[in-house]
Amino acid sequence: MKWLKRLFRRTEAEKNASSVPVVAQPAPPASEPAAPTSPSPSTERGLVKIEAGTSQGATMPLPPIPVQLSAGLRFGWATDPGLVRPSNEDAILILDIVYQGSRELVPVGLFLVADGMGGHQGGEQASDLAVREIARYLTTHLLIPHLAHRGPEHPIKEVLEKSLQAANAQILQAVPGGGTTVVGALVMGDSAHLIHVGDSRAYLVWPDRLEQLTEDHSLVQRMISLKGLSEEDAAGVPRNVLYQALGYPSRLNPGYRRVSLPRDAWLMLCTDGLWGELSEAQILRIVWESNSPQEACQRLVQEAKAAGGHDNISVIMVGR
Amino acid sequence: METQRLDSQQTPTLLKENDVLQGRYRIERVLGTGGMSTVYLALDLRFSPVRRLCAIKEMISHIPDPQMRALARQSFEREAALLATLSHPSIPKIYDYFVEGERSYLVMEYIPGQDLETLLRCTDGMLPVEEVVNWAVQICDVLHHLHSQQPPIIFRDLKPSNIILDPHGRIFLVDFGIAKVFQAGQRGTMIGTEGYSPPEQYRGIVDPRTDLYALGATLHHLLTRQDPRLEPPFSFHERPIRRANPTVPEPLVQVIMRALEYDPERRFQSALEMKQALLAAMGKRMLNVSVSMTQPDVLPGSAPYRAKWVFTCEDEIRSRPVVADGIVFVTSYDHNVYALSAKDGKLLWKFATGGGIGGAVAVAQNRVVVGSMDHRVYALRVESGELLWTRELGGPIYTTPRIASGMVFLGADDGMFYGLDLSSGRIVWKISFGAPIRSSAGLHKETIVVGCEDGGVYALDFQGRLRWQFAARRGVTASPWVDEELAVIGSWDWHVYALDSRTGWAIWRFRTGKPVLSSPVVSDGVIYVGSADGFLYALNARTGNPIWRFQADGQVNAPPLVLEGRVLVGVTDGRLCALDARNGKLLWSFQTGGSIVSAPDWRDGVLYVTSMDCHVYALSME
Repeated sequence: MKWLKRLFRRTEAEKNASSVPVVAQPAPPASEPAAPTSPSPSTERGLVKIEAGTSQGATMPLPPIPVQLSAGLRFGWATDPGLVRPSNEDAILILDIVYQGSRELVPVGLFLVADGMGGHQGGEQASDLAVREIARYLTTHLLIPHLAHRGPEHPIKEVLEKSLQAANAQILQAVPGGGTTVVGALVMGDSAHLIHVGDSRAYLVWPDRLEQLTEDHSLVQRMISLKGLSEEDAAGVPRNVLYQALGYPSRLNPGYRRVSLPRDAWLMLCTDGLWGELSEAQILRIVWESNSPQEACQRLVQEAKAAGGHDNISVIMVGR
Repeated sequence: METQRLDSQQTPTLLKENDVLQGRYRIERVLGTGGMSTVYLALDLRFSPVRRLCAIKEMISHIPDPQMRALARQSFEREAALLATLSHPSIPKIYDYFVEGERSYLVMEYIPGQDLETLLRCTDGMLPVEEVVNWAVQICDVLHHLHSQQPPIIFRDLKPSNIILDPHGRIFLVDFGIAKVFQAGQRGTMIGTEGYSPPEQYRGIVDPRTDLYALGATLHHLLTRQDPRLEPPFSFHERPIRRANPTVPEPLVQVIMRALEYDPERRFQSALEMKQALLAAMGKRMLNVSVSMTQPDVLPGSAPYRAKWVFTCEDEIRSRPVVADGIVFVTSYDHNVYALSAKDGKLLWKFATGGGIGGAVAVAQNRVVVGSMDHRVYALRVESGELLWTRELGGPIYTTPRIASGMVFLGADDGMFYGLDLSSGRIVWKISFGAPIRSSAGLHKETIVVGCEDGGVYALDFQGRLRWQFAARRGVTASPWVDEELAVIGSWDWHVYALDSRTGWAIWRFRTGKPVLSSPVVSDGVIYVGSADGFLYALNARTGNPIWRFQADGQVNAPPLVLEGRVLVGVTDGRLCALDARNGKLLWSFQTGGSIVSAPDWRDGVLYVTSMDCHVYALSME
């Protein structure tokens, strides 16, 4: 519980003081040489490692995945302003529980990526508030009961939806004019519960293909799902119009789905600065050529910048 | 990330009260601000003896890009020229056009009254339907006028805020701005859609049917009070008008929904056609002629089955038929277990227990096992019905036994769940749940899941050890579905719950309109389950979202059977309905003489159905 207290102290202290995401600080610039094989966490990456309580998360080699008896998730992350935007309006937050004790405790991790929008720092404030508020709500309603060996008081889908509603209310009140997408994965045991609004996405990265798990809340996606809009017809449709985001007064109806987290695929959460810049083939190649999820994330950001870096780029990779 | 919103508030310097333009128009106040323009109320000083008011529209000229500014100016002039050529009682007259410094102005007839968006905002409760239709008819008239021009004029931006209602109930269209051109030039992500525009307009395609869609969207908003700008685009068909406002007559709903068809070819093709449909829809209502919307009944001749045989018991049948080894086993409230020849329905044997039988039989290892309201479990020989053993439990039994690993598992009304040895009937273990058990257990691999009448749901292993438990708010009578990932539960609390089958944690729940007594069935990631609210639901197992629902003419308390792309389910009106599993469309139905509360069984091209009319039907499928 120590780390939770620490987290909360910081959260409260920084609430109004800083627009930097509390848990995940921006990644080291991707132009710096990545250090994928470094066995120990570097402290400048913020609280991620402190919470994770282990150095293994980011540095285990990628598949063929060795049989790992100890409970815990393996993950990496990176975020970067890109080459065009003046600031990074994305935010990332990761909470990971690693437990080794005399009882059984299903491993749990929470992974959030948000892409803020709106001028006058509204975007970065909205995404920052979103990830912190969602994590705060889920800590209270899922993680703390879980640590007491209690199941959630309400269906997980509803708890996740409520966490987004809580964040939405905060943003509407505190950041008028700011909005944000969010995609989150609550990993409990071998299940991943996904929640999202907007066009930040979750994928399963299989050895041979990408499986998109979320459906964008965008005008063009809506037209495609309603009538199978052809590529040709879709060309004229504006691609940048969302009909749902946190901080916008539309009816909030987040996308939810549960997936089993396979042992031979990575769960990837990312903003449009990544999926809009890199092709499926590029993403597959980069991920499976990397030696760790952390290396994969950093290289994905690097290559998205090489491809133009028109937008902020954020990515999280999680595996069992 | 550079971003903008559609509703971004750009505030240019506004004219102040008492500013005078052209030495003639004295500004009184701002009437409204749009994306590209501001409209003022002004007094025409040239008519000083009377208070002649006019509306002055000012083009906002702070666009930094000179090319864009020129385009905006052009568009503004086009609007002026357009309005000058039009003459219609629902279009404001234009008086003047001038440029002053960096700003262009259009002087128009001032329409007192309020726009319909303001009207919605300032009123509570639903608007009277007749009035809304009256406005719609007037709008059809003015759209017809616009569309009849050469070349046709498409309004492009019909929505409540562009429709003004004057104190005499007359409708005016305002804002002929063609300012939409500029929105395509915006960069970054935008949140929010136009709400009223049809799909093709986003691809730059407009014709008269574009305006008819927008009129349909406007009517949907006015009648439901659901702002389409806050909903997913093109979601009108997912938000039925009558669900929000039951006072809207069904024929009117159909007119509006036709205007809102995604495909322009399926909408009204002209404003005149839509006007006539609106009038006809309301005319019918005044004559109080109800339009029959019921689906045509399937003709028996067209049904893909014929009744092969029918067997009659002495009392009602609430349990499902079980087919094994060419024998159909049926249990009835008349105390009997019947063994019928699947071929011709002939009685092979029957066995009388000491009470009515509510559950079905379980068959394994040449044994038929059944529980009775006389508190006893019976094991009978399959081919003869000879009694092999019987065991008395602590209360009446309404459930169907499950057999696995040489054990019989079942719960009874004494609140106990039992594990019996299949060969001897010995009670190997029992566990008390403290409330009557009417739910037959769900079984997957080594996990048994069972519900209680107090809402408790329990997962056990074959040794009777509790693995997890869950509490629904009210009783669980339906049999749980269990697979690798999910345990799906129906409850008297009106919900369908999806639980993680390893931990028992609720993943999601879906609320129906009445108790769920129908046992859920999962097939290909879709959960099929009925409710006493009269619907059979198809739910996405991963998301908990409904895929479709089928409305029956009675309660759906029976479990469905999923069979080769079809869902078969019994209804309390006595019908067995066969639905297309993809979309829930009724394919055919079979009428029995009593409620159907159990699932059919299927074997070798023959469907076996039991009904509370005391009959067992064998339907051979063609």
